[in-house]
Amino acid sequence: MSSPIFLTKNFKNPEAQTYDGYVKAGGYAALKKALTMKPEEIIEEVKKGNLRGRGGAGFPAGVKWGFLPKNYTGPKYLCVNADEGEPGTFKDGPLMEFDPHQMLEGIAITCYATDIHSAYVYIRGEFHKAFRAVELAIEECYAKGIFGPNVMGSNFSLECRPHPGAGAYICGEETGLISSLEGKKGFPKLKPPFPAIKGLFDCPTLVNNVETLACVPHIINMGAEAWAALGCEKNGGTKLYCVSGQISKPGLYELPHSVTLKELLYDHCGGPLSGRTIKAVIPGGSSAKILKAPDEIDVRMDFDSLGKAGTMLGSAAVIVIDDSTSMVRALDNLLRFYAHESCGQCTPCREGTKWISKIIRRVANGQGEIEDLDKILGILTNMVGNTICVLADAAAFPAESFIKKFRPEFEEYIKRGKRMSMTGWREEAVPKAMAGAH
Amino acid sequence: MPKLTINGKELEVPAGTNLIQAAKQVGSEVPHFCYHPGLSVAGNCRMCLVEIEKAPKLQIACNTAVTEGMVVFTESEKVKKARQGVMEFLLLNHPIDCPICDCAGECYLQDYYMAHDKAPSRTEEPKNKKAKAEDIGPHVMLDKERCVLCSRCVRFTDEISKTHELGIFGRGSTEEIDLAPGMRLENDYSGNVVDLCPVGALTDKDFRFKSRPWFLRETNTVCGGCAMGCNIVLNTNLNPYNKVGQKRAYRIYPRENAEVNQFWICDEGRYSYHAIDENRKEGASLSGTPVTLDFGLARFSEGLKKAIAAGADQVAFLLSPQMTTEELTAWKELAAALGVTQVAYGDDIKRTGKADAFLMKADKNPNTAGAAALGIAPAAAPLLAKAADGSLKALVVVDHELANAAELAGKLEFFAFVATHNTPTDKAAHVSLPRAMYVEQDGHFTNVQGKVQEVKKAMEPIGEAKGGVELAAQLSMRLLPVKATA
Amino acid sequence: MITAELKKKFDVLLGYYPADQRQAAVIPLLHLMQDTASGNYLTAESQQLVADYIGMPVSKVHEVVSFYTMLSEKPRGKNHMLVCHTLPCDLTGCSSVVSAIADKLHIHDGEVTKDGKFSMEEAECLARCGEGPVMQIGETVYTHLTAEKTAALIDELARKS
Repeated sequence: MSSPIFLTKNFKNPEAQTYDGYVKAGGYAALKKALTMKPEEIIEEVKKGNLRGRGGAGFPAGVKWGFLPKNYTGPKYLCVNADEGEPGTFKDGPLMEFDPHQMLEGIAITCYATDIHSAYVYIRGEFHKAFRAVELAIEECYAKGIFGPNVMGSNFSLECRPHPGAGAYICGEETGLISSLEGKKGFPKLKPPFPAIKGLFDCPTLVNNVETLACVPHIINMGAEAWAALGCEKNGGTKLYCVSGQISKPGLYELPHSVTLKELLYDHCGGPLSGRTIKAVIPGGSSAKILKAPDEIDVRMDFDSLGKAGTMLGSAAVIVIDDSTSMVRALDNLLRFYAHESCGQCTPCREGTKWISKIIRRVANGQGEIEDLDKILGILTNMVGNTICVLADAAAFPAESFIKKFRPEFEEYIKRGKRMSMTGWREEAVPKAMAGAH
Repeated sequence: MPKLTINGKELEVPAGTNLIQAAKQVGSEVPHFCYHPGLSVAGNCRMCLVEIEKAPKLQIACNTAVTEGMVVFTESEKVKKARQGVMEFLLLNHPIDCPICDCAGECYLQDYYMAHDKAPSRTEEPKNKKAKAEDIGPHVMLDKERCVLCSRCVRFTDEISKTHELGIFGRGSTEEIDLAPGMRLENDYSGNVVDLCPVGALTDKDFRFKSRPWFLRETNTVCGGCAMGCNIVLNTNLNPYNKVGQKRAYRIYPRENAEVNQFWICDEGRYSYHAIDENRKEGASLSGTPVTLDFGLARFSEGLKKAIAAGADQVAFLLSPQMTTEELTAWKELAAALGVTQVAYGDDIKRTGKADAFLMKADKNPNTAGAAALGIAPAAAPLLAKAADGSLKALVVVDHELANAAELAGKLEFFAFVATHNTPTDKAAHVSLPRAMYVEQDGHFTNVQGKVQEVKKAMEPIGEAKGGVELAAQLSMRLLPVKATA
Repeated sequence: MITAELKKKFDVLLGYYPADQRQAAVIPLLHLMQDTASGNYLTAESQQLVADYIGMPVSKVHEVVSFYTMLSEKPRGKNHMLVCHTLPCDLTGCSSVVSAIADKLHIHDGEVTKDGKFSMEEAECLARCGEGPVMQIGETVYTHLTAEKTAALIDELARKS
């Protein structure tokens, strides 16, 4: 039943966190091979390998690499997005903590392929251990000639430094990350211009997720076809799936990119907790529209299949909700999250996320009205598509899908007129901190 | 130059023009809060969203440059809904305290609500509370609840005054404009943020509660505070009927002129309007004793006539770079007609003050260049020296404060003064006539760049004051022989 | 006060960025400044020191401090508890962690105990969702928490402080 693993194969080998241990386990062979290839060849391999961006958008990585200007003589940058903050996601932290060199090797190959000589690894501030692991690994890389003026003795030079965040989900948005790296608030930037043209310090910039880069050495080692074959059409390789919530065996799973949600939950994660039934599943991080169980979970966990099913793979963070849990309380939790994380720059998101979170809080406290549900849905139409970045959309997707797919439950909650517990459907007092103004 | 279509109308504009500017040219006003042509693009208010053919989402007009063949709709149903949406979001936490807000009548929220919204409020949630009526500097009050977080004021202090006193602090819907720690809004251009603020978040302490804007008339003129000649609008209220002691001028704010002051004015110029109504010389006087204008003119012309009869070479005119070019011309011609050759405009004794690399000029006179261009001699020193040592019998001074005025009054046989305000020199002079200010007459100033700019009459001269041209005319009627016609 | 030792660290970090982009180092420098300050917070004075050292306006430093949750302008306890309360942890019972802390230490979100040993912040997703409920104190992440485990942990930490 166990399928081949690549991304997590060094996790149980602490030695592999060191340069020597990593090399012993086969590391940096891909970089050596890549340096003998032409940059265009590497980009082709990554395209043929069907590597999709694993930060959330699922954009084909090889295509993204091709957006950088050719024959550009000024500085270009790679920003590694290690700001893992999408609720339910916990794959990039372990990748950095337990196999930092894998990511660094991916960085080196990617930079060589795109003629980038400066990379920053933007690591969320709360990831102290991961930061330390990456920092140490980078020091080793400089000592061993992986980074510096002559990467592995070649003519290719590469500088790479770690950079901490300080607590803001919006810095996971690629231009929010760039603003933060520039020493400002994490305000996403107006697009156009796109980062490939004008990004960090106004220079052409490539932003890639940790996991995406970690795949690159494997594509080079085994070849694009073999990597693609591990997955399904247009979604190559193995994939890291993060499973959390009300499930028997939550955790990080590396599986073929063709596994179905049903297989993931029942064959790998042990199904629901004892005595419970799975009611709903968020398939790709809290910003992904929710799926009803059991009707909608027989879907393949790849970017395109989930897109067709009206939701998305996003960061592959699967959050399981069972029949003990109130969908109203669950939505209240998520809308509070988005209101808290909205950077505040543009009107529809700043005011909209807060407004819908105030409404759902009032509903959750037992003071809601039936009209509030359609009011929320109406507010969403003024948010989606009208903002600088997609955080407004990310708040709208759960709001819309929870209310539309679980409408009877929302109406029952409202009719009851009382605050109910998160799990167990018990009446609760409204906490003092929540009474009165939001 | 790209050709495009906006609301069905074709136009051709230079490459790089944004859609707000382009739409204006076909008579379509795209509403906006954060966009300002003098500042960088922020794109955060989202009010200027417009529909562009082939674009899947609405695009902000302020950050979209025209392209060849672009087809734009600024009044489609989608656009109207988006605008209503933005208005609703902005009004969610807005206190809507128009009855006590200075901005009412010139507020973007009010104007856009009437033009693009008109929907009743749907919110039942408590509004975010923030601090109101905070004194943030010598000239500006901040009301954080009214702020729509457009960031115009922050961009101004970063990009124009470059003094960085303001920022947007916090995150999300509770973020607010505030002063940087330890700072006050104390730069020489602080008043401009009030013009920039589209709502009543930033208001002018000087103007606070003084008048509703719909009672104010607007006159396009030029500031008389220094040689820069920033283009301004002067706000006046001439109703009730202006009597002595009644305020007529209420406010100055800048007018756009790309070549002179762009969109800005310094605080010194902005608040110089007080001088229009304060401490004005409203009537003629003899050594400080008030007399009618007629009497004053009579005494003035008698004294001057006597002095000239004794020898025009012992008479001097000290004119002022405060005068309009027309006033200077009239007095120059009067001097010539009287045979007075010693005429100067006092470049060496004129008012000077603070200067900077931006708009403030050390020369605090609006028409130095105009006076020079007329060929009037600059230096007053030779004339004043002669007056002091007794070789001048008569001196006519316009609007220069002389430290030794009392002494001169004793030495000279005829010491005449023409002034806009009450000063020690005015009191010392034998005869003193009241002059109208630049806002009380039509005329021209030439600024430090050599630009000739129009000043417009916004109100009748105060009391019995008259413009310099008319005063010269009155004197010449009394002093010069009438030329027979035909 | 920026000690000589801190200056050395500052200069290393500043060296990571182009010479005309010194402000890019503001977050790393602020972290150092905060972590070495008593009370683990940033006063207006220390923000001004960082602004001057980098050569950027203090308004921009203050914007950064007010935007990011890890940077604090109020003193924190020696043990600053980040209790995750985002959905996956809420589904697995973070409310019992929050109430355990309230029962034992009588502090809520954003508060510090009188003896300065503990402070608590209800934080958003800490990226350990498979092991929830989760709490992070400094560099250590505590997982699979219950009310009892939380109370025991507090006792242990109180003894050590």
